Amino acid sequence: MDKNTLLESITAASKDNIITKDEILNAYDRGQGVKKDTALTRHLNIAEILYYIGGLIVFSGIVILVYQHWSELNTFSRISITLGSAIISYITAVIFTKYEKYEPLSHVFFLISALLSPIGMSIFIYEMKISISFIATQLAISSILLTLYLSSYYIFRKVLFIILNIIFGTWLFFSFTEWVLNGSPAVSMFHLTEYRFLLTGLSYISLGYFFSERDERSLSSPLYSFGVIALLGATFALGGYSPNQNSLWELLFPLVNFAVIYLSVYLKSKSFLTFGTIFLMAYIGKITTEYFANSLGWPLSLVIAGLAIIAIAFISINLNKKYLQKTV
Amino acid sequence: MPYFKKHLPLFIALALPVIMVLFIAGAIYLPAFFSHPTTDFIYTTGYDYCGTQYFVQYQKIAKSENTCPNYYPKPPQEYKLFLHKTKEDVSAQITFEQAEGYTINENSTSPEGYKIEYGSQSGGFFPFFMYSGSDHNSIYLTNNGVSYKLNTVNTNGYSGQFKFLGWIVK
Repeated sequence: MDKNTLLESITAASKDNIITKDEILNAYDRGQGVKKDTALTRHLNIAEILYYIGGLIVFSGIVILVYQHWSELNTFSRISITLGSAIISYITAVIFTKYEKYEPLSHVFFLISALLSPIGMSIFIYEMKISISFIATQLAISSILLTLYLSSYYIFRKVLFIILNIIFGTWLFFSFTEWVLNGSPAVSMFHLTEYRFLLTGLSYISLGYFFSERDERSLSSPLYSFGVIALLGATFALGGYSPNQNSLWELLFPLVNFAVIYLSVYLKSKSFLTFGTIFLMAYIGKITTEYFANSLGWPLSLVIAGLAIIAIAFISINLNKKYLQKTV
Repeated sequence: MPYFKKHLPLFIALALPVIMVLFIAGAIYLPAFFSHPTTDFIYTTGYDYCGTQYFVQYQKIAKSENTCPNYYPKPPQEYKLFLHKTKEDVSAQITFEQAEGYTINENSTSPEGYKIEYGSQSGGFFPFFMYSGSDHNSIYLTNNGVSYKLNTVNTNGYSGQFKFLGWIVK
């Protein structure tokens, strides 16, 4: 079969929805001998689901053990049960990565280590009586774990480490800004919490777009979801509520919202459309209650709001049918 | 350039938080290089409903003696007067007689435009850094978003509550 015939076959199969883009790319990668980490991107079988459930139960058991017997355990026991378990889990996971058939187990033990590490490190700092503030503790923990998992991703190239890096990186961003602010009243004056969530949302959306064109494209959907919730939630909060509303953000919010809905078509993301629609409905309800309840009367403003929400839902469903069927 | 263009969304995602951190650090610490409040002020510490209390009357520090009721469980906590030298950022306890010698502007805003505010309660765990209220242990001078932490006498919450009386008129 020559190349042109093969390509035409693929085109015909794509038109008839016999084959998906991922299947074509996977076949190509297999031919190239590219080994991809698919543990978090393919559907899990029952055994793997049980692995993860078991891992969560192990984590819960350790936390409950330490919590219930805190006063009976000495310093060494507290640290070894939590931080020690985290370290041993990590080492165990590294050993499992050497054997392909134990790959899913390595993920579980990496996950147990990631969950236990912050608790273990907090207990270590507390027991060693290292005199730093709670914020400084979080700053230290998030920066150490981010460094660890960035290095782990560089060595092992697992998608799980990307997720952990995003989580610990976000934690580092929030705790570092808290530490820099150092209790300054500028926080509440400038709504810095809302702006942090806004920027985090934009970062997540940008990361989601970055991964959408790579092997880790399965991360795009959750990143888009969290990103758009943070972006729209922060923008909504910045608008405030009468009489303390911020008119600029109240006027900007619908623009941001419509941009999100427009991007749902461009990025082919259902998350954008779904949350954009929900937030737009919330915005209409808020504006109606804020400015029209007294002038038009509460019942009449409810009627108008309800009709607007019906219209938005109708448009949203049609956008979904027309542009976003069979997308993330 | 192709590498940069290909990874542009990643660079944007990483740059946004860094820019915000730099912006916050600049907003908090840079103003100290350009301007600094200089107006001194008088404040008291102490918290009780009776005993000797200080206030401002006719631009002078005045005091009143309020007898504690018989059922009052303990002796009233003594109010202490302090003069805060803003430029040096130091507080010194003064007597009532010393305080009487100053002319006081009891306006909450200084002639330079600064106000006294409590700090924010910095607590919580990511991402729930909730501000449950003011931190009475830290006092700030603020002006249009610029803030300076003051080295006042430890107010220690309600047991030694900070009470601003007024700015020194020179």
